[in-house]
Amino acid sequence: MAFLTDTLPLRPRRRRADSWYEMEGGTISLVVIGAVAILCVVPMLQLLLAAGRVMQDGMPRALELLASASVLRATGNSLIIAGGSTVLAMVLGVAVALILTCIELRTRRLLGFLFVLSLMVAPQVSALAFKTLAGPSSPILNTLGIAPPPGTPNPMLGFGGIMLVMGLHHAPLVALTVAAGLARVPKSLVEAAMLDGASTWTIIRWIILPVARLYLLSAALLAFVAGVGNFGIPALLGLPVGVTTLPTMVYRQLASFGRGGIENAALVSMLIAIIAGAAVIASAWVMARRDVRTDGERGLEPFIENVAVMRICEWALWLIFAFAIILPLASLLATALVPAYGVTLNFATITFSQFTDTLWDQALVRRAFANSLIFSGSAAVILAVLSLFLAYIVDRRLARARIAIMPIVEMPYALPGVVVAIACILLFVNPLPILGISIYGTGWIILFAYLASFLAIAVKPVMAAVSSLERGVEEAAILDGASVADRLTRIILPIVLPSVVAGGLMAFLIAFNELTISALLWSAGTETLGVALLNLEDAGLGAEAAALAVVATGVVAGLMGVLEAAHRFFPENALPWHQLCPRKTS
Amino acid sequence: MNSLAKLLIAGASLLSTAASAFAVEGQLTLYTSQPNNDAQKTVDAFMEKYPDVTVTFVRDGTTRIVAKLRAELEAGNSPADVLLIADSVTMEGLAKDGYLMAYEDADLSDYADEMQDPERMWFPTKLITTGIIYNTNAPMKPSSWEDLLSEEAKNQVAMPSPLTPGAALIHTHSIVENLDMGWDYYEKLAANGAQASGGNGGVLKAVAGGEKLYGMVVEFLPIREKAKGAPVDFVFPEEGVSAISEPVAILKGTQNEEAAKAFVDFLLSEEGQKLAAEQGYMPALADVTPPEGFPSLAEINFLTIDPAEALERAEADKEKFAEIFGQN
Repeated sequence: MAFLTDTLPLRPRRRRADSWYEMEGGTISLVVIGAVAILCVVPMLQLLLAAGRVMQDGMPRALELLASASVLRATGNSLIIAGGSTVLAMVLGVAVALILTCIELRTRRLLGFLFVLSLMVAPQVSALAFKTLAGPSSPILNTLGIAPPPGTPNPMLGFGGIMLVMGLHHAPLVALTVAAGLARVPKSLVEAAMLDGASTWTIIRWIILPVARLYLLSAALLAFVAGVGNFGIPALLGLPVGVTTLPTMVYRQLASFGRGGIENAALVSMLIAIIAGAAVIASAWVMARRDVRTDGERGLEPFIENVAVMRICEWALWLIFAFAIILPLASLLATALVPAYGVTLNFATITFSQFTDTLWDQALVRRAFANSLIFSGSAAVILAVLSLFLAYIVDRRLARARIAIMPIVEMPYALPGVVVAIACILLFVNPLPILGISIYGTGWIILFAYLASFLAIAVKPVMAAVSSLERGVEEAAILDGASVADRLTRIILPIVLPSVVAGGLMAFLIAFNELTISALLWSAGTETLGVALLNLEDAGLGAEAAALAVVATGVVAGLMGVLEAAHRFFPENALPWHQLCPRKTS
Repeated sequence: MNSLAKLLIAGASLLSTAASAFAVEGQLTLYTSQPNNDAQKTVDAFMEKYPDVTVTFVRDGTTRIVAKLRAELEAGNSPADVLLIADSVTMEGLAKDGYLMAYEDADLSDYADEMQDPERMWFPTKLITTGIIYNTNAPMKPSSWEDLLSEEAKNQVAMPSPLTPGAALIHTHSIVENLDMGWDYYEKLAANGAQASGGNGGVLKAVAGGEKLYGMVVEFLPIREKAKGAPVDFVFPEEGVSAISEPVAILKGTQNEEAAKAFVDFLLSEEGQKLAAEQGYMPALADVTPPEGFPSLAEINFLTIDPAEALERAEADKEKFAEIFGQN
């Protein structure tokens, strides 16, 4: 356990009669800290060690690899694509966040829901949807008679398409972060300016945006990190035309060279981790500098009431969403309704056979559904339980260590999935010590990676709920002699249960759609939905791939619908799309 | 007398298959490069015959599935029992490294001997040729490999990269060996804006979707998609087509030798060959009628190669190709 005390500053500053683990709840603390260490610290150390080994073996060789034409080109491509997509995501995301926060549109809830749905739809599904939308065989464009002639390359393939799809996909991410910032802009500032007769534009330009500027910066950095780490979009839109990014390069190295490629892949993953890590740290630094004095006041609420502005904004948003979200999904559906890829959709050719038999005939598809459900379901349950303990321990017992523990918990989520996956391979490629069994190539390694990656998502709402709990009730229970286990299960759990469920479900949604991690970790029998989609697409089964994407998207949309229907049971803003639309109180 | 003997032998072999069918049970893991739907059908038909065997299959492009397999074999924990991949050159490589199990008793009496591996490590199951696919809306109907160098085909040719699937590597080798132009052919293709990436599936999608008009592709994909109504057609070019045999092999480390042998027998049997034909493949067994849309075996003009030399030159060929098409 030496590494625990080395990496986590847990030793109390002053020595008490009983050391921290002997106090009540010490066992829980130990278990939680142990879990966090195993999930979040050990894999990363392993990656560092492996990269270190490669460098030790021969610094010149490592440098030669990192400076090789292919790595340099992939790095350049990654930076260009991440940068370009960030610009688009910022423009759209900030605009949507501003409109939804400042104007009480009639359909804002629906708009917010749709916008977040476009983020929850797997990136590879988005990529596939846009690809089917734009080519010469696009079912929608052909129906409208405006499809490009045969022989025209698909405009979605290559840099432009990747940046477009990625930018649209990450815009909701930007909007969510910016909305969190807008919620902290004091309402009184806006009211004062309005009393002075300031125009709406002046208020936005000179009051709201400057106050929320650090959130804007942080949102841009987040979108950039997401862009550097994204695998699904460049895999579908870049690899067919030879545009490699760092994550697709790692994938190709592992896929084509097997374990021989692992050391090089580890080195390239380190490069990704460094690029992404720099942006993550910059973002954390930015957020640490934000002015906390604004926190106490009532946040920004819808204030623009000009009917014409409302109309225009509402129409504009629906128009943009129709092109960016609805149309691609419709095209995906249309592609799934033809008997073979490339056939024009009309009444004579329409068939539901992809959904009724073709898809389900394949054991791969059935297995992928079962696997994705099992992996993400068990990850969600385990994470929900762990989150409760983690939030409790961090809030009550180790409050001083919070500043150290939380970044560690968030690190695997913040880092691209490729990095986590490679770290897990390195960790488990040899049989486990003591037990002597190997989980490499089994479903356990995927589950482990999911737990490490998505802990941060599950713990977020629970942390917020536990922190805001009154301590009085618990203190009364302590006086009554209730043990820590009693207090957790009888008092705290019932109150924070909705947050625990919300956190678990968010983790489930994201894990269910995930591709990056499983693309590198899958093996015989452990294919996930993402892997199955990539595989069908690779085998040239375009209509089947589209059908699978439609079903997966249906599952996600359905689950989000269930969450929305049950939103009264969750704490306010536990659902991301609600964060986009603050309610008006007066 | 002769026919009586035949009858007796047939009866005996029937009995022996019936007897061995009894012992065939348990789990069997197949690693394959067949497209998912075909692999599924093959596995389903096998399991129908041997209900006590549960077959799981893993599918990826030949290069990738073999990379995965080799990684697992090196780690000593591969679940694979049987391997069914595109080409015999890759099989030769695995046999050379001692990963395959010889199956001396395989019944090859109906097969031509020159196609078979003398060491009985792997067995051809089909004949897959690579020719030219074109979109039916294309202005030109290609008839020879040289047509892909023409002005009409500028920026319109897609082909699989030999760095991914096994068939493409053999194809590259066959073209270079047989066309007078040799590597110049690929140089000219590259200069004509041909795009090389991914596997055969990607080429089919690009041409069926109209993003490219012509492509080099394995024949069964376009012939089958054409039957379903996709706007594509396939031609066997004048110079000839390259061919691979989609061999099957048993891994040395198999946990279920009986079931693995039964699987190989099944693929080689007339029943298995008819299934291949139903799936739209050219069967390896000459007696089985090829599927609709295929010329008879005798009509096809082949580009011939020496497999041993192909294996030896594989790395060099890949490098040369990567250099011409600027890939890493």
